[in-house]
Amino acid sequence: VTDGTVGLLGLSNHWAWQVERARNLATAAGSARADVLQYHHTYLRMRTDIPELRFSQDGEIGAADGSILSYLRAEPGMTLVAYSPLLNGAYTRPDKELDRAYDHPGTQARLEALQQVAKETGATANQVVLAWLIGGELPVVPLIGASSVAQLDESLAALDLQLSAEQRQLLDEAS
Amino acid sequence: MRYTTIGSDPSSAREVSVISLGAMRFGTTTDEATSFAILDRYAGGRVRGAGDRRHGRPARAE
Repeated sequence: VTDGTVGLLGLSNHWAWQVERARNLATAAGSARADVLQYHHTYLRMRTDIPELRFSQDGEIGAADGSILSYLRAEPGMTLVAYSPLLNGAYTRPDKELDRAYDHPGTQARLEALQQVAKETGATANQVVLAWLIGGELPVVPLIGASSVAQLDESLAALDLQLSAEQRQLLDEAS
Repeated sequence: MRYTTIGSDPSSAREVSVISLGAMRFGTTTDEATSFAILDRYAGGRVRGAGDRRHGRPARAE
């Protein structure tokens, strides 16, 4: 960062304690800290207790869980880049299955709230998810994928969707 | 497009679009013509994720 080779540092898919340790070491060394975190984050909540044998035998390392979200809340100036916010299309496409990490009772309640707000606003479920992520209390930048211009257009149109306080509360409280 | 600021240090903070475009599949599962069309459409944005296949976990691909 000092040399200008890199503009800004980010960390992805590390345990919160590792992020904290890295940021402390950087501060102690007088060098730039990672201010951007990149994790999977979406409206549905993911089970984080399922180990992934190659990289995280103690559970899910790539999800923005409570440790990561609370870290963001406690450290103003940090931003979460949320990858796979639309679950590979699973919110709207019947041919795309949810990962088994979403197979728990909270998912149905969240999906129902999502459908209700989608119906109220006339937006797609994907657009409601993006609007919810962008307009929340924590600084979150969704990292979307698109395999067609139409998919990109759908996601970009989420910028025009303003959720009411009631809609946001409904979405927040569903669990 | 709307923009937001990332970075806490004023010397390195920058403005980025509030929706970032992942380019991980461009050139592989998304062909060149489609990739260019998507990039052209997105041209107002300022952040693109190059991606690394997220440790090869297909469920995580954008």
